[in-house]
Amino acid sequence: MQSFQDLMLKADISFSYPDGTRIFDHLSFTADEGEHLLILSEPGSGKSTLSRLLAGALPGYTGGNLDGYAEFDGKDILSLPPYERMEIIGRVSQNTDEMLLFSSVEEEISFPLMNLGLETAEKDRRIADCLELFGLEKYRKVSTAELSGGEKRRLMLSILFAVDPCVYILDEAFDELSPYWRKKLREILSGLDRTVIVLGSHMLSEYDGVFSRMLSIENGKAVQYVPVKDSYTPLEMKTGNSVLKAENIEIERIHRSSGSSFGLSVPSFEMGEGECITLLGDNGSGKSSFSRVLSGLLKEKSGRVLINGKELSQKERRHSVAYLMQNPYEELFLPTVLDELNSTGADSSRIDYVLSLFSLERDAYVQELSYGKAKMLQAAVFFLLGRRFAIFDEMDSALSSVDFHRVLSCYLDNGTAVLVITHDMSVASMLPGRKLMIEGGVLDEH
Amino acid sequence: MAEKNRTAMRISLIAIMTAIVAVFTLVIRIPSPIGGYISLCDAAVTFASYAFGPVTGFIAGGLGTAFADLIGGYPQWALISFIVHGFEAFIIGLMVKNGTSSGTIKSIVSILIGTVMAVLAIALSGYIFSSLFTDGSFIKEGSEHAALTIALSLIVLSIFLGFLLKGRDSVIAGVIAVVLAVIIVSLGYLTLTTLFGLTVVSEALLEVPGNIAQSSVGAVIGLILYSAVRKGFRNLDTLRW
Amino acid sequence: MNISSYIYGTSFYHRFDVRPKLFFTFLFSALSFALSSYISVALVFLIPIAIMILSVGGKETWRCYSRLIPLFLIMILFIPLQNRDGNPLLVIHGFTIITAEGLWSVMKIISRLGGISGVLMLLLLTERNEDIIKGLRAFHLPYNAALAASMILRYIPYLGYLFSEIRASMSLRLEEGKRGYPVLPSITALVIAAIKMIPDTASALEERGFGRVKPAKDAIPHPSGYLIQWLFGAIIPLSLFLVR
Repeated sequence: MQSFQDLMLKADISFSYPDGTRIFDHLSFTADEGEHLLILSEPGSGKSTLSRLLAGALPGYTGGNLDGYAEFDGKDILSLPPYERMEIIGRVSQNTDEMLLFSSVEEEISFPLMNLGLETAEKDRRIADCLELFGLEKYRKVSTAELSGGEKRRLMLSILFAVDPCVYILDEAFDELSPYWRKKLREILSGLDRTVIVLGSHMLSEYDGVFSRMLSIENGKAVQYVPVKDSYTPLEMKTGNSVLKAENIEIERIHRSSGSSFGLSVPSFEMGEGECITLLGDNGSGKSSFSRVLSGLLKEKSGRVLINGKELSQKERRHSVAYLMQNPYEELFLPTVLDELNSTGADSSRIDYVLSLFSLERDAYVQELSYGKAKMLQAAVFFLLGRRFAIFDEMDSALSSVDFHRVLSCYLDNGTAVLVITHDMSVASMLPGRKLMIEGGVLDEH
Repeated sequence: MAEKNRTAMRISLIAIMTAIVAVFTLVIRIPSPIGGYISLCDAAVTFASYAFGPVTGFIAGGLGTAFADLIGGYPQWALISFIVHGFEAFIIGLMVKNGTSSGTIKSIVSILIGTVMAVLAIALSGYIFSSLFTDGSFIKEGSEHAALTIALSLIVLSIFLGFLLKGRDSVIAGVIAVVLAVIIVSLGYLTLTTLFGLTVVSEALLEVPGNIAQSSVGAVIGLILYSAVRKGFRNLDTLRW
Repeated sequence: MNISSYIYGTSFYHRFDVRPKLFFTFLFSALSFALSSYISVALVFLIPIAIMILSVGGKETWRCYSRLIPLFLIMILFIPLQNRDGNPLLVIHGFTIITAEGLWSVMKIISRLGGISGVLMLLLLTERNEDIIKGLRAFHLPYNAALAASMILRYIPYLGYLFSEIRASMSLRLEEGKRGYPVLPSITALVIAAIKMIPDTASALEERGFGRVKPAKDAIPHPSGYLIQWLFGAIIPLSLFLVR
């Protein structure tokens, strides 16, 4: 009985960011030894913050005010430095780039194992087994820069499994994986005899039967998860004059780690001003590549892109189609919110209108904005630029449903055509307009 | 909780700044006033020393340009680039080590060290200059006098100007930084490539105007970059060590 | 962005262990300063070319050396300016064009430049970056320095990629100027993005165990013929020195 209690994770955490924002107010939960726990809640509710706090990345070098404890095996792990928590708790973070340190796959997976002080034979065995478990055994010597998003995710998973702590934390780990690997991960987790905490923002079919309990984070506290049927006023599409067409597009994409190439075909695509189209497809199917072709950032192998019958050069496409990249920071480069909005050339009354519409503070520093707020700023900038066609790349995974809905309705009310890229079927089902899907290298009606 | 060990932070800072210098050297190019393109390596080097001090600047500036040479297909210049740009960053970093308020003793010590090192570099290249169109021997009568005169006048000038320096916010410090960058880079490459016998003096001379253009534009952009980054990222100083 | 010059191969030089290879590279470069005869000059220039052709083939060797040819040509053109007072070799209308000393000094320099460039390129062509770093560890490169070197090689391509993404997004938002898009906002954004990664990287290092007991040196096993490789690495450069 004694040992059973000891290997239970008991946490009660209160945390606020360096700028004072309170994220957790006695967030309290327990996880029994070997239990599989799912925590589902909106983007921005603090899931990644929780995983960082438990693993030791927060307060860390970023700072913040931490109160409370996370007890495991008689120790409060929050009082231990991160390198002493390795054997107890480990995580796969949502943003793989923040955890990639070295240039080759082998170095990346050897580093933590060497720090554990393992014998060479044991270390080699774990590396071989875990790389094979996630299908990366051929990529040992490959540079991590050449891995795709899904492969990087699998590398992070193999590292976690190689270190094999008592508690596994997976922050949106199913994200970016192909359907095959999502199923495989589900199988692996089902049979895993460790305490597992999975964090996610949407319910996935792969979660079925894997978890004993489901929690949610609301107002900084942990609560029982209750599936909520979002009810929003349905979005209305307007009709406009211009039509964006793509004909016979062939895109060649190279899989950098193996050197093989495969293509995406878009026989015909049409989007009218004011229309909302949802583009679905698995990770790695080419949704971003197609968006880049439409917005003039990527050259297609063959085919044409036209507006109202006039063929567009790459430069013309860039000024007609607004492509909102997944990572908002890649599209923001001025110091303050006001600087960014001013760069669009809009007049001050319009800027004031947009500031309130997207809930932004004019003097805030861009680099100090939260991810969600940066996303809103990105949307605001392109809104001011007034392009007739816009592409939202996985915006639903960065914003809460309320904010996502708000941004989409702003654009649609403005008469802009929006191509919404998502891999979440539940989000897709709530959107108006046509649904397109990329399957087997071809983009077609769903 | 135990006192945080800053080693991880230092390693990360050095690694990322070195990568920045390397990327600036390899990738970032602007059209040159004298035709062709110039690489903005000196912008990154100046930025690194302004933002993070002489030691970080030395490692980032030296290793960054050296890595860029190794990766970019010109490995033979790696050692020379390391010395020249490392030294450039070190000197500039020393000159602006003190923030807005510098203690007198600190200022004098750093100015003296900086001057001594700059003088050594200039004296050495003075020897080279004096034997340019002759048989390539490094020491000739009369040249020592020329070198020492240059060195001494620069010492006096530096000490005089040193009292006006107010660290990173001073315009004069910025001007001196640019001048030092130009001198160290152009003379440094000239001196070291011939000293290491990797090229003939006449060829090294051909590179000087290009180096002057590159280092002057680069250093100026580096200073502008420093104030721009500071404006957009308010906690920059917390990363110094 | 390709930061690795490594080309896979099974030549004898590929199979050399990295440690004698590093030693050879260093010794060869150092002794190229001690040339004293036309034979040694020729050998310093030709040995790396020979090894390179055997390791990666003629086409790659040409690709590497072709970058140096403009430099060689300029140096050759400047022979007349070297060592003006020496034994004249070529006299036209009473005007000394080339002296023996001038020719000798330029040949020395060309051969040294070619030789050092050659062995360095050979090292980078036949060894992976991470193995070079591991080899340097065997020569007492500090653990933290090797760690930083590996990290630098990870961040260079990543920051290069970030920069191109930033430029791409600028092209979406701004009008193209006479000389392309403004440089300052893009480099500022790049540097800020990089600096923001520093605390995250430090945290990641610690999460992966940095700060625990210092790991013992990872011993690389000696391949067969290890001693012979070391002998090769020592004898070849020394013979250059001894040839007069």
